[in-house]
Amino acid sequence: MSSAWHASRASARDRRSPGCLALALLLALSGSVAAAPLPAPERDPEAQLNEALKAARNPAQCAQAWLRIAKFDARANATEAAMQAARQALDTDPTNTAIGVESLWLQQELAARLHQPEARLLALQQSLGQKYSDRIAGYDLIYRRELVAATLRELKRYSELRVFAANLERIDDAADRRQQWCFLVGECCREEGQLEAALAAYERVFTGHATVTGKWPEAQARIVDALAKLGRLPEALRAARVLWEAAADAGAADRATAQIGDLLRQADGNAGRADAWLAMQRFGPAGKDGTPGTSDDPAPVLQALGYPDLSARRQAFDAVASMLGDHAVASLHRGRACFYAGEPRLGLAHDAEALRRCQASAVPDVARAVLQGFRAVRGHSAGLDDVGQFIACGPNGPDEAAGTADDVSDPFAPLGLAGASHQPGGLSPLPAEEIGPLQLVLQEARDLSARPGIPSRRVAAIQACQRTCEALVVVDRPATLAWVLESMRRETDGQVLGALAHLGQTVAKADQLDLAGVRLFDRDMLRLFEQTQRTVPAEVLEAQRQTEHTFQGLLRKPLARKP
Amino acid sequence: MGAVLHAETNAPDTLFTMRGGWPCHTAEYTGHRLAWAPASGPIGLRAIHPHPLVSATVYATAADGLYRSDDDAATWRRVPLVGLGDPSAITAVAFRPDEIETIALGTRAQGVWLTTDGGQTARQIGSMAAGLAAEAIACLVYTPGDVLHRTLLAGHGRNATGVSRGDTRSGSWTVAAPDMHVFRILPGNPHGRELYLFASQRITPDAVEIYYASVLGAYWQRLVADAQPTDGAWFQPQQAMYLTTLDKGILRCSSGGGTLQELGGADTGWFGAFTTWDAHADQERLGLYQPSRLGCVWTTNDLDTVVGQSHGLQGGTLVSDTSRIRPNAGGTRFYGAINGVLWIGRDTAALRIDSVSIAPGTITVSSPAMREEFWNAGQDAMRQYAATSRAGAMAGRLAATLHALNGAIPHATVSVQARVLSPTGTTPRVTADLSRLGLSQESPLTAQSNGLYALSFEITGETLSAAARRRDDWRASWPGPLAITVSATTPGERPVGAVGLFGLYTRPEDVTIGRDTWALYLGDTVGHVAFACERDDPNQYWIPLHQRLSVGPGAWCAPIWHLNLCVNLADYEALTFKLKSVGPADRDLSVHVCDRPNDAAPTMTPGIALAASGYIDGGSVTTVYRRVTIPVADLLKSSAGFNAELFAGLAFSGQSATNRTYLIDDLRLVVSRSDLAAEAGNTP
Repeated sequence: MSSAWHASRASARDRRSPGCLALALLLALSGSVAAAPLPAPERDPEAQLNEALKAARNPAQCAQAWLRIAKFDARANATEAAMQAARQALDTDPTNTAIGVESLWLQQELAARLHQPEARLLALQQSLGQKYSDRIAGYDLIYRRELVAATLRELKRYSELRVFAANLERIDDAADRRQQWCFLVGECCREEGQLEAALAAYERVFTGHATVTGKWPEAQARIVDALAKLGRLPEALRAARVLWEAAADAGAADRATAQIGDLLRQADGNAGRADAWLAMQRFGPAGKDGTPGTSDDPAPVLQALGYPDLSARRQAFDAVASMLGDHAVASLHRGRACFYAGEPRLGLAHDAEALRRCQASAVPDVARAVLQGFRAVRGHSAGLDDVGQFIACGPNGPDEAAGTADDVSDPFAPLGLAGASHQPGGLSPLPAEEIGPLQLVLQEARDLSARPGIPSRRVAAIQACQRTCEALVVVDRPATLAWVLESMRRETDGQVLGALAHLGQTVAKADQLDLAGVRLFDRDMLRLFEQTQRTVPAEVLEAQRQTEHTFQGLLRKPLARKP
Repeated sequence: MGAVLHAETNAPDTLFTMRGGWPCHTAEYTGHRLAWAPASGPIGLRAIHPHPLVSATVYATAADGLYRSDDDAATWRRVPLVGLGDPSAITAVAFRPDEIETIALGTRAQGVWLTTDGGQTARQIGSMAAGLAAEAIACLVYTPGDVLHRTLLAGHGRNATGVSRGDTRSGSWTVAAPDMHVFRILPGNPHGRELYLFASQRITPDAVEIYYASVLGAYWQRLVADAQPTDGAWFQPQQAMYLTTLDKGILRCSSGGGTLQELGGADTGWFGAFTTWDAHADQERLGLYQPSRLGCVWTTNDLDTVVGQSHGLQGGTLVSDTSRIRPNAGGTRFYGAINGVLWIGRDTAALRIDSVSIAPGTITVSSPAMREEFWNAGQDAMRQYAATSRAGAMAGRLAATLHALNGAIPHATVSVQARVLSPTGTTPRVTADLSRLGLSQESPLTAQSNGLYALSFEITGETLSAAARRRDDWRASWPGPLAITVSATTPGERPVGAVGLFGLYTRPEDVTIGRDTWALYLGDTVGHVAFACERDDPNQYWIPLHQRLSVGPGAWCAPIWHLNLCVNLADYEALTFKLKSVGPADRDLSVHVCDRPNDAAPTMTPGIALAASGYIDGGSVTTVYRRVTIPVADLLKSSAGFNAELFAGLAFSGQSATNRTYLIDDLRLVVSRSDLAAEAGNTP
């Protein structure tokens, strides 16, 4: 025990109240496992810690005592002393990895408190070394790695960070984190001014991590920026076109629109094309007066820009397309991939596919993607409200009667996307060997849900039916809906009724591009309760209200803002 | 004939509403009002024995044998009991709880007989040669708490001392309580194993006393000395036993014999007690019979308020003290055997449910489908499937799982039939409350002919599991008879109701002892031993536990007790666990089982050497886990004095040269050999 340590402890003593000491001791002691004999709690805590240190019979107990002292000091805000004690714990028994991990964690916390990023980094890097990393739980390891990256960034040690991130891009076990590390490599290169290397890293965010979409928008935006900084404006414009087409929401589309406008101004040295571009976005191809063929019709700009070479992306996306799954999220993912690969029409087809298969509750999100897909295919944001109306009401319009004034023309038809799917799985056909088992699951789960018993089990069976319908896309709609309604007629449990209502809505919407069938089912469902003079359970009402909310939203809300 | 009674009533004539817990009742039912009349029955009627589950069936012992009626005592036929020499000698009747047609019969001088076909034939299952204390039987009951319903308890009155305990399967009998003449055995709480005895000590055979024991084999606690007890009934809502006496009023015994209270102390001449239902199964009633004053009354609150149910019933001081009143299953008919004459009491309301029958009368659910793990595995699979990105890839496996679940549900179709008598011109709405089964509280019955209403529904093991799992359900749970209410309503009127019963039973489950870390402890050790429950990884709480047993040099014995284990070891096939040593092991370890009568003076069976007897896979204890399986029959061999019903723990013993450490895992009792195959769990 060093005299410096005693001195620091003596100086720290004055700052602590007895209550604080007792609490700190309790907290410090609570973490201990096999330790030296514990002193009685009513005695002076500081003396007790010293006694524990004296009583330590081997290095492990001694290190444990030092660690307790470090925690005690840390809680008493004696940070320097705590740091010394934590280091002492590590030095006393360097072979004890459990204490080492704990001590290093404490050291990095204390270093952060002392605003010593170098020391913090050292402690973190040491803890991630071979010696200790096996003792660290998975979630903790992730956190420590992120702390190392953040600290390196704080210290602006980008080259080290690039090596660190590149290594983790290779070894991290989660695909989304690998993509994040890859993006970070690009960020490091960008910060170091190595824009070509940055471009390669950003491109790898797509080609190397095709199963995760998380970092794609940011990477594409960075590619546009890097190309612009490099002065390669035509390439930047082509990349910006991809960014604009792939924008997943109105806000992102607005930003990309403005960026293309800026790039056009920079490239041309005048505002001619830029204005035409912005006018197209604002008023559509018919111009401000809304009449096509007049002088104010904006000249098309987008097509003339062309696409960058995206063959590597396409190849990477094609390689993983079949692995993505058979649910609406997978269809949306495939759609995203097509937009980033310069194939907006195919992207819209996949988004429409997601609309055909998604569960009723997911319609608002999927509809938003479809609307953005229409924007990308058409090259402007005008007229998207009609698409929203079609998704809400179907071809017959709000009055649900064919041949009336409010009929809506099918926006999917001109693109060849209307009509029923021809095969299970729709656009991404299911492997033949999976179709039989899926249909079997539908049957068995239906049987299981019909057996009386625990509502949660029956709900799980109904949800399995729902998931199967999502995978198959093509289901025997009339028969399944009849079964759902008959089950609801007999059912009394609210939870089960709610699940049946959701299943009915999903089946009613299966392979459809609008909500008309769902609203029809909702009405049949409510009529059923009326006929049997039963109160409509809250769960069923909630499902019906959700559809109505989506319907009203699609009709009224401007889903794509004009720039 | 004596006086005709009109009993006092100081309670409202409608049933209470109940708004707390599950289920809540908001409707007020019209209570039953009985009217009594003598009926034609067997000549020389001695006692009446309504079937405990089938409401229309009633047996009667008479001077010339055993009679049976299957139409609410309208007609009677004498059952032949082929095989029993003198059918007139029947003195006691015990209905097997889970089999409708199986009845044990006690006789005056021929021991115990069993009929499994409702009285057509009978075979002797108890005699002095087989170990019965005497051939004369005064009383006979199925042992409470015996989940297999195969053991009987018989008292012999003044003819012999002791309670004879017999196994109907093997036909062997043993005698307990050898110092007492037992006149009556009354099971207490139906979900426990407690017993009440009307008995006298061998040395004072005329002084009848009332005794209580928490289980047969435990200490007999004397509740009342020198009394004239007549009858008793367990009343579930009060969780108490009500014992009627001729001289000491009514004795209310609760808290496991710990609390004894005299009710109506000044009143004497209580002849009988029974429990029944009023218009709803959630409205249980305690019925009491005092022919000299009140006649037949119902109460729920220790006689603070009573409902007289004696209209037309014979009363007075001339009624013989052997007269009793018994309700049928469900309480739609009441039978009095009074001075050798049959009396029948029935509800008199204009709109009433005359009878409720449920078929089948009993359902026994086998264990695998009842296991929560089984269902959880299926449920987890479905949830994972619903959340997966690739349903098609999982579909094959899930379809197989769902098929297994569908196939494994032990399902039965249960039908409820009710006869509703209603005033001309009214068509009541008839519903059944199936909430006890996890189903609707208002399941409608459809009208058939002649006032009959019927309903069929499917019952599954899981249904029952769901029903049993409701924590806020205040009613007594199964296994046992379940009461189902059928209600009838007409617009603007209060509903009327009646109750039907059916029995719900389960086979015993495997008991995993090692998982109850909170309950395991070491006690009565010999030598240096230490014991701990621990996990491989203390941070992963879901990892099952194992037990660490450390022993020092020398002879040692480590009894590991379970705090509240209460199973009959004889109900199980084998004791099994996995065992390994940390470092070298001794050549052999022995295992014993321990009982715990009265939490004192436990008995330990002689040790069974694991290796020498070949119970351990591979022949010896090594540093890797090996399965040990010891048949219970072997454990109970030569275990004189050990009470298998009070199994409370097991002990390891041995002789060590130095310190040894053993790890024990997956310690359980299994009900069948097939369960041993399911090493890791109970997934389908």
